[in-house]
Amino acid sequence: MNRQALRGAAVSVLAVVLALAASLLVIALTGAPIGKAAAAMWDGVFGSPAQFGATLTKFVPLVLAAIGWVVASRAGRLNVGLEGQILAGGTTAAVVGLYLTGLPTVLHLTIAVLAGAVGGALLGGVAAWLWARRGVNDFIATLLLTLIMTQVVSWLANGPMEEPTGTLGQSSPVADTARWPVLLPRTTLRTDIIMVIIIVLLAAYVLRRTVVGYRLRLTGANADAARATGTRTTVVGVGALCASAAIAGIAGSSLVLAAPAANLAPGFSAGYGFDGIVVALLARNSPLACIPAALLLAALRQGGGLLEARVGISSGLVTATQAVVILLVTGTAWYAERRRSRPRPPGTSDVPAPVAEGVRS
Amino acid sequence: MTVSADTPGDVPADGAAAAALSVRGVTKTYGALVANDAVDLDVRPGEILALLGENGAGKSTLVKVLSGLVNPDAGAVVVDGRTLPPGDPEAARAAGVGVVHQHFMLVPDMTATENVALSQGSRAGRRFDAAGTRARLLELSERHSMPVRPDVPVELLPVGERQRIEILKCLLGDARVLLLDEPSAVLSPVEWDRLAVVLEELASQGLAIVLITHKLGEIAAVADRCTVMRGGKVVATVRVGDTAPEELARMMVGRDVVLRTERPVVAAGPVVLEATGLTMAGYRGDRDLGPVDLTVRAGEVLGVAGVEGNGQSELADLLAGVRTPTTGSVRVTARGGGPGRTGVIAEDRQADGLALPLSVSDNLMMRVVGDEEFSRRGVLRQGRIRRHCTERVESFGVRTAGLETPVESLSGGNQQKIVLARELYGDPDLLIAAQPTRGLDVGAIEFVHAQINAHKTAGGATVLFSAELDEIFALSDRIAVMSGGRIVAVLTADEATRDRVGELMTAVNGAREQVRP
Amino acid sequence: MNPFDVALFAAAIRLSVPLLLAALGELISERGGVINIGLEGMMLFGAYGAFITAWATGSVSLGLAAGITLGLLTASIMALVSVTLRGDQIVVGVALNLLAAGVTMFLYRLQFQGTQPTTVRMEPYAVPLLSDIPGIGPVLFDQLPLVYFAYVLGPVVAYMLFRTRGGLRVRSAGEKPEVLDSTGVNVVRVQWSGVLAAGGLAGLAGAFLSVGQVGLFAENMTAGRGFLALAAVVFGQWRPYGVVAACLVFGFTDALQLRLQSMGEVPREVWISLVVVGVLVAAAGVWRARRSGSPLRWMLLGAMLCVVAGGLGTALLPSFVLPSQFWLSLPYVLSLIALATSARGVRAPAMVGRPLPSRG
Repeated sequence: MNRQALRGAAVSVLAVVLALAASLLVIALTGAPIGKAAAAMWDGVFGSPAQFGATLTKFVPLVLAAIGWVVASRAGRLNVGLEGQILAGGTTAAVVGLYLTGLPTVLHLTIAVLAGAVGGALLGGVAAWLWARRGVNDFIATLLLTLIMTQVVSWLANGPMEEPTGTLGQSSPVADTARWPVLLPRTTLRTDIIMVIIIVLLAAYVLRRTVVGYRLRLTGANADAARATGTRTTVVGVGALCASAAIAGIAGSSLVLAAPAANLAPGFSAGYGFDGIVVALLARNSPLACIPAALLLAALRQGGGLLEARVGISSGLVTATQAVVILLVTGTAWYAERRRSRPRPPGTSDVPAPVAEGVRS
Repeated sequence: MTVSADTPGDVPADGAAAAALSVRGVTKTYGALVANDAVDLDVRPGEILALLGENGAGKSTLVKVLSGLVNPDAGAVVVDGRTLPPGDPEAARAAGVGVVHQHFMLVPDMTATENVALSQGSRAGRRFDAAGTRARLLELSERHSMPVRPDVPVELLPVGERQRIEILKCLLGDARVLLLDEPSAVLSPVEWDRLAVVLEELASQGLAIVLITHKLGEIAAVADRCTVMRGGKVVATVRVGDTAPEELARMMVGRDVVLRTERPVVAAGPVVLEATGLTMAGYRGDRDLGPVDLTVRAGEVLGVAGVEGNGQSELADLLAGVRTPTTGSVRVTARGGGPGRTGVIAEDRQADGLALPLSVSDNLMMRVVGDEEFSRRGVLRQGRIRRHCTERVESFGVRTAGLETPVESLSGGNQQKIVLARELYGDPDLLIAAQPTRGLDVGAIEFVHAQINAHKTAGGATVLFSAELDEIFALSDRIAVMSGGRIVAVLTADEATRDRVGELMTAVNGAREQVRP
Repeated sequence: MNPFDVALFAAAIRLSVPLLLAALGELISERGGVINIGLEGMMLFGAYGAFITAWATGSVSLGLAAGITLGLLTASIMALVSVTLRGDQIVVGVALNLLAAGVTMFLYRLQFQGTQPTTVRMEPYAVPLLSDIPGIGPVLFDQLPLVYFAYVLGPVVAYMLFRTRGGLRVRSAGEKPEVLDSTGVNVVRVQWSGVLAAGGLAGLAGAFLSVGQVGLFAENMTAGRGFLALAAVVFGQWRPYGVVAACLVFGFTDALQLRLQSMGEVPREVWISLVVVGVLVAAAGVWRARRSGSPLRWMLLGAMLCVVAGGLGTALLPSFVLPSQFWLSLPYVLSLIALATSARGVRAPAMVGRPLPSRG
């Protein structure tokens, strides 16, 4: 780990500590007993297997969305529309889960998850097309598509896909064969978390150790130089956006196929797409660091719920805490990314010298 | 050898005219690099002073100090007897220092009128008087015969007209000292001649003009005195009429012999590069490139000379395959037959040649990462990559702390070595070298020249684009001269003389200025 | 039954006002090179601040002032992090939306424990004489005072951007900040003022929603209007009058949508007007293609779809029900189409989404 990464990690940790301290202070100011509030948070996250399972359940879409952000931003693209791609992926997964019945579990589930990836990628593909062919800003396109997708899901859940009674404003549950098996009994945690860990490891591997990862990095660092040396940067940009969206789509599929209700309901994305950006930011765009960062945010989300139930502190505080974390991390980026770059005196460069510190990676 | 450091006082002042602008002991360092070292300089009203120096001599830093964009470490700028507060562009402008930067300071989607109004600072209230500004602009443009269109967004105007707007902008701001940074870089010879007339007329009206350039011919044509800079220091200030151009050149370069690398003689082999009927429409908004035909053989260096902005950059991009021609084709044949490989030294290495935030090793892998040797089924072969990069770094003498060091923390010379190490790997059949030594110090320049000669000796073909005629003469077997987007002549090294090439560079010109409908 | 009555147009104007306020502020900010995804959050803060102040003091004007103030404060965070500290504009905006949603929810629940009190609200003001004009009088001139303010804001912003020195500076900051720098103007300060303008107006827009219209606050009561205002800037192609037109179109579709929901079916008049719109769009497209050579294909295709759908609707499906979500997503679809089909000259200001370069 080099000095710069170390400094980045330190800043992230410090930001989280500061934000948590600030929210504890706010709790104290409201007159609520701090000890009780902290205990509620703790119990909310670790208090019982059920609570811990619920925390891990929230971890799943968070870490996936974060990986989506990382993949796109490596290539220099800003995919602000992860939220919409989660909705799109969840929708296509739900369609497969609801209407493509009569298949064995393994097959049905696989197809449904893949459908989620495809659904997300399709929405991301529209944005990518607008970016590549029509010169539309990637962040404007993905954001607008998210807003459209929100309405589409709301329409589907209240219209064509609504459950038979037509009163609940959501679809029927998907077929049992399309649901992820339970991992921990009596919790909401299902086996999709295993797939998610594999995806994170795979993303880390691809970004670090493959030609594709190299080309993403190169394109993000300097698209002109990449193009001049034979990388097809438009293809890379489109590919990064689509892959990012596909991962968000898988997150969407989990939010349907691994949820207790296992159905399509308006707003089921619940802000995970935007929170994923927070996670990626905290993790400083490193896929592996997304795991602890996502665990932390999942714990905040989950603990915040019990905080409200027990101490009457609204979960809005947890949302605000996240915002403060982002602001602190973004506001100090100039410090964390600073490099020691001093121009050297002229005349020293022509002295040939071997690589000083030899090779390390 | 060095020229003794004369002070400006060596030239007696004409009459007793006080200096309009004086620079006293300005020093500016960037890290360990001393960009300006105790620089002194004087310009009097009514005179044109040339500031001469090679790339990297410290001219641009001095301009930034004068215009208040950069705060010097020591020294002062005095205008009409009053010392300017350092690092305050507004104060410099208010005191009457007008600067025409090499990269124009114009907002592209605004009209000339709006750009002029923008530069007027805060003195004229909240609302700007569009009609009045426009009228004054037109009046001044007529008086100095510098035609401009006041209501067209400047991004649609040709470069020469944009430059006129910049100058008028300064004049409208009551500039008493006018600094022009390499004004001829974007002009055709005819346009430059016209500008020179305007400058002389402005000087005769009492304006003090500083012309920053590295072209000797321009100095002989318009300047009264010349201050020569080298390595951040002022080496001399001389009267132009009394000094031979060779003398000026010697002071600028700091040695008698201009770069005379021994040019190896290699028997020309088969044709490697064949470009036929290359054209590109609207390469600079309004000018067309070509048609260009070129042939370069193995073991041959073709130098392309020309005034900057006459299509060399675009031709280099076409030959390198970075841009697609409108018509025509480029064929690169390997010496042994079959399609050949091309290595490219990009004109702007930081923009097009390197990914600055990435590591030395990432930057060395750009072209070859997909090869069987360095990746298998899409997976990088770490060990081989590490060995390859170590070998490249060592054989090109790149000074770096390690392979994982970001390239942006290396010096310009070492950055260029990385480009060379990458592009010359595997003996490409063709090397396109565009301004390969721009901004480098002498040692690095010699290294680059040696590499180009080595490539030639190994039987490679080279096309060398350079704004430095010396470089072209030192390395080329044949010299092609570009003007107005075309190749106007191809001479052998024996036929080519400085005068002949200079004449050709300026003969036919690309002064076809018009806004595309 | 004809849905196109006076009440519909009055509602369209009322609904477009918060969009106008927020979008015109955002226009200034984006022209200065800062995109403000946090517009939604600034509106929400404004709505909350206005409500809580009006509730405590019983004064509408104090409420409005508080709305503006909170908008400005939020904008200060945006400017501090994204302009001064050069953080990523998009990410800061996302953070501000979260912050506003979280903080307003937290404080509101803390104080009111699940109840939803109402407070004073702004009274309409009928402009003498003008409001008596038959037809348009009641539509245009019997409205809340803030509506009149919004009317004049478009021309004011246009004047400021194109006819004042400050406007030139803002535009220069968004296109080529080094020019400003070279004339000695503090670019950071110029961008700050753009962001503050957006914040203040977004705060006012939020105040219009809470104190202006209903006299109460609800969690997340902005309901995506900040994003709608962002879309209006895009749809209006970064020009003041374009943004005004976009807001009017969006306000109108919203009003129509609400009306149609209450009617339960799409009356024939709507289908007929769709044909008219199609014809108008086609005409505008041809005219624009003549002038600036922008691509015609897409616009004509859209226009044809309108005409065909309208024709079919008129003839065959007089009572077909369009889901409300169709209307709600229409502004975003229109914005995307506008972006995708616009001529090359139309683009976001060059610096939008990018941090300022540091001075060498």
